[in-house]
Amino acid sequence: MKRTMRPILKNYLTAFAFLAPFLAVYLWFWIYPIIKGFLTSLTTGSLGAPKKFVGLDNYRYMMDDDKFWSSLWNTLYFILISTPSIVLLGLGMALLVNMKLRGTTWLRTAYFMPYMLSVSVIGSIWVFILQSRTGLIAETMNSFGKTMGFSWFGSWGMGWLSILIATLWWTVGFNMILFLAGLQEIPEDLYEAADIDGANRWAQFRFITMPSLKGVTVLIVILQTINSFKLFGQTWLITKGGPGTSTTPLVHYIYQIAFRQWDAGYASAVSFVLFLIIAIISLGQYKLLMSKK
Amino acid sequence: MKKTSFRLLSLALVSSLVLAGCSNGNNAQPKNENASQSGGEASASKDTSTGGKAIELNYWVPFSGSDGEYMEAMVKKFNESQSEIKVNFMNNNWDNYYPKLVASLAAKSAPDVAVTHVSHLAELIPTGMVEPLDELAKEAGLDWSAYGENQQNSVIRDGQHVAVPLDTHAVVMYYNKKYLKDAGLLNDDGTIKMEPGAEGFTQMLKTLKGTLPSDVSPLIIGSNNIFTFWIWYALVAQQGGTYINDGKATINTPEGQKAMALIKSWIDDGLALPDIGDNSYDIFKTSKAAVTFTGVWATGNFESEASLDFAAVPFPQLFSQPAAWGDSHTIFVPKQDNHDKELAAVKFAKWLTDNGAMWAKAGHVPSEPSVLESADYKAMPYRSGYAGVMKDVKYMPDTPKLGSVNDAVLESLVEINFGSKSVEDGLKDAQAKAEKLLSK
Repeated sequence: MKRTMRPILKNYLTAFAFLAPFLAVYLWFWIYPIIKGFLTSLTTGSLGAPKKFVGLDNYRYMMDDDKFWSSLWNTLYFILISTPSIVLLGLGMALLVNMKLRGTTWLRTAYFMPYMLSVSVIGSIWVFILQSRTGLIAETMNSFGKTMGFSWFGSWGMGWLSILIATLWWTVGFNMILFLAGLQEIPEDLYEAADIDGANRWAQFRFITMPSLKGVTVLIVILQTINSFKLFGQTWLITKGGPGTSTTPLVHYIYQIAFRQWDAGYASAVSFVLFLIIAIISLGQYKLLMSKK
Repeated sequence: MKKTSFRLLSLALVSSLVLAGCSNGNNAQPKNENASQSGGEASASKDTSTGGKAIELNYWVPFSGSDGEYMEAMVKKFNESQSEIKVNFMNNNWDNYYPKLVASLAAKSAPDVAVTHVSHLAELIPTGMVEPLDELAKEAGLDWSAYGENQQNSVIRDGQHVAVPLDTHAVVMYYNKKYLKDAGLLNDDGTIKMEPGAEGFTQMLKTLKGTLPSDVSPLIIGSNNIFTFWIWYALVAQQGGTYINDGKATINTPEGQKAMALIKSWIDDGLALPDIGDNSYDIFKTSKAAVTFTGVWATGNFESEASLDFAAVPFPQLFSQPAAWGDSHTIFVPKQDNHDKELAAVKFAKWLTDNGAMWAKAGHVPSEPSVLESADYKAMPYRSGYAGVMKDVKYMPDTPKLGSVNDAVLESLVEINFGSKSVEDGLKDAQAKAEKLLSK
């Protein structure tokens, strides 16, 4: 008995020794802040000033805070419009650059390039292009004697369209690479066999390509959903959350609470709710999408 | 095998995404790190010769715009002018200066001396880290009566001065002299020919509209950014009103409605444009607008455009009393145990304000009236034209909630400008939001 216990124990110890550095960092930088954040959400008092314990008051306040609900709805709306567009556009671009044509290597690089830029650069570029009167589009139309009859940042719908375009341009290249990796994993002989069986291109795509890309699609949908929940830089830099609060997503609002209202407790409470929402939705998505396999 | 390699690949990509996410987060504020150290090498070498040890001060400023260069030059000159104190200049990105500053105060890792706006003092004071300055000022030979009365009063909290006013910056009026002359709206001395009050001003804009080319706007204001709020506030103050009184929101008032109705009428009558953000500077600079209300800090920008013939005057009086939105950069001293450093910080602040003429190059109005009388200052173009605004500036209400109330009001004002809310509904919303923020 003792003889068998020892190697097992030793095994565990060795494993632990290897895991310890990671665990230490993980506990300190991930788990501790989550707990600390939750504890902060139960307090009130501005940043730097003494805190007071208020129980669940911040959460109660949240329930009838109109701006919380409108920014949550804004965030969900962005997920609804951004996830399908990124998946479809990413897939389309991956199919295009996967074709054995001339220039696809160049296209691959071109499509991926914007992803390497930081969000502040993306923000400046799209403000430069879209802003009214002095923007690239407005000036170009002007030189043809036409005026832009609408404002890109002037309404709820156009504001979100601007954010969506900027986000797509920025991140779709990365999703294209993921799809491309998936496409290149599909064995060539499947298509050859399909050719011999007389399947046309659409049938090949429908019955070989699509099922094979299932895993990578799940990955992209989940990542995209999480990323969209964390939307901040684009709205902060391009529309400044406006007009009014119409393009203010949740993280943007959290920033305002923390660093304009200086209300660390309430900001933590909203962050914690966001954390729970993301956790639940990601789990649900994963279960749902994987169970169909 | 293929499946494993695919999994590995996706894992690698996921982790690279996480890493990329982090790096993007950092890159979002690249300017934050462009801290430039301007050590006074000259003074350092002097120290060794005299054997004395200079007191080193870390100095933070939020001048990520063009004014950063002027401040850096001043620090360099200060370091060269004496060997007792050596200031390390650290410029910060304006956007996240206050989050950083407040966090540093809370974490007791603050600089030795730093710039703050008067309007942000209320956010800094709750940290308990802002040193009252009256004793130190006496020791440093700083005389508060040397400063403009309005400016000096703006930094008193609980009977004590808590900062040294460096300047006043306000929203003033710039106009394109060529366009106004063509419309017959200039007097011989270059001032605008118009009847007093809001009607006179609006009439002047209407006359302009009749003579301007179709792609030139009579008036340009940042109609979907903070300028709308500043101009609205100035117009409210000109009627003797304000928007937070005794901790209570007073936004939806007859004064507030009248002020906003006037701004909205300019947009509705085609005298101003509804969808202008930070490009308002460029529009005026490239002669696509005849008149603009903007910050004094635009002077340096406008005068760099040779084709632009402009003048700068205080914000016009459209209602019963003169008033303009304004704020001041001030120097404050974070609390620390080292008395010598605190004293050196006040001496440095005094030097900066005594040499305000150097700072005026950035467009701001220096805080010491004696500087305004100096030949150096008077020799500078445009600046003295609007120096009078320092008397009329109405500082914003003093509350730590100021930033969030301003944001909430601005949101509603922009909705009014875009026409998605009426003046009444917009101000009602703003009032409700501000009440909620102030009650928390």
